[in-house]
Amino acid sequence: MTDTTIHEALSSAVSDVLERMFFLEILGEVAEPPPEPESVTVRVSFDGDPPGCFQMRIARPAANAVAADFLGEDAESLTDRQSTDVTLELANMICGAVLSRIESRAAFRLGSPQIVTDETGESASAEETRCTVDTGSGPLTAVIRMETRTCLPIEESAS
Amino acid sequence: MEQIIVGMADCKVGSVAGQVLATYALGSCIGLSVYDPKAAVGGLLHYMLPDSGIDPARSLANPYMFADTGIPKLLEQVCCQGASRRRLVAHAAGGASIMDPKAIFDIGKRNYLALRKILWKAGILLAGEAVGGATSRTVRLEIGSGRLWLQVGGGQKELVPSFPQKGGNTWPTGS
Amino acid sequence: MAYRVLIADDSPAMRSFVRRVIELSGFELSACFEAGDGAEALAVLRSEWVDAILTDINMPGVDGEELLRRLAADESLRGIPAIVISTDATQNRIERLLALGAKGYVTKPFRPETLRAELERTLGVPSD
Repeated sequence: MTDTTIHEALSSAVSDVLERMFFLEILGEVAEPPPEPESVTVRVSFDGDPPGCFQMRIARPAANAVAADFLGEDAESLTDRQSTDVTLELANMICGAVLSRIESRAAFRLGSPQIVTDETGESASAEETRCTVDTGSGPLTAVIRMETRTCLPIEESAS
Repeated sequence: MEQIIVGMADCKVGSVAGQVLATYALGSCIGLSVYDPKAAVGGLLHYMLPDSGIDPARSLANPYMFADTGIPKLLEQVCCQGASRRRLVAHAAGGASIMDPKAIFDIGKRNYLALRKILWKAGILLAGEAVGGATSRTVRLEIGSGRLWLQVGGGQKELVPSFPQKGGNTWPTGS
Repeated sequence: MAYRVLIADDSPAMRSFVRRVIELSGFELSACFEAGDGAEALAVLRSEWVDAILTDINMPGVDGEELLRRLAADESLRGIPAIVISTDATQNRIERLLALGAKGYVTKPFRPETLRAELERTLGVPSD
């Protein structure tokens, strides 16, 4: 699998999830900003061929806004717990959507999404692909790290 | 049969059997039709832009220009005429890329996503839609029967037959 | 008619989303049970009858696939229709879960109307 194919899978997964379940139009990628103190980072590890991990960083105002959109609530009435729960599920969905676009001989299995405070990479041998979009309320950066390159490209399925 | 024209950035509600609400030339704009089959009350909104934040003064003068001000107004007005929000059957048409075939600005898509966000928050799911593409559309809603017609290009088709009927009606994508 | 459903997903946010779709689809709920994993789901089913189960696949402990196996193995539970809601869109997984007895499959991300269509296909169109 080429870096371009993984990048395409990542960017289309981000757009698809945000559009379909959060009603956000993503107008292409933007430059990745430096990490803000008020941002939330979620990590999802996955087994498979290859194994790796997915990481999503989202500005807190954006996390609150997308959580409100997802739950059909006003942002002002959301609890921190609700905002966190939605952010975890957003990362889970994007990770699953990326991996479903990258077929391999073995099925992928996702771990539970976890809030992290340390964004350093897990493995020196990991190949990393990054994508940043503007949600309209702040940036969202998605990163996928895969430890080997044995997966085969497939065409994106219509759904 | 009394035809009531809904212009661009406009909204009309009907509660008399025989009235037909009609809106034309839905390009990037969205035509949102809602109908309560039990109360026999319906409304049709034709809005042009997704977000009134770009021009709050304009939205005060005409809330129907924008999705975020027009849709709540439509729902308020049909409910004032006796409709129940829970019973509303909603359909959407438009959101095309007429003057923007490469969808660079994609107003049509932004209008459509704004519609979905606002309806989700309002607790309404779409029963059918005919959105996207590059063709202008016309919609007619008949009060009393609840029949809904869609006109695309030279052809017209009845997409929602008279009530009572159950379940969602899915218009073919791109119709 | 009022329905009794069980939603199994380790994400509270997704359980809320699914419940909202069910209600907005016109299904009046007389009971909506929630479970964070397959073991909790089975515990609910030991004492409560439901008309439908909506389950995620990737859950800690007893996952959705194992839940389907246990439902199929239990004569008193195998008749309850189960709709799978999962991030995995690979054909292999979908076919395997349908073979295990799932009546429907919805891939995340999904439009609410897609889940509504699956609910109507599984339960019938809700009556007033």
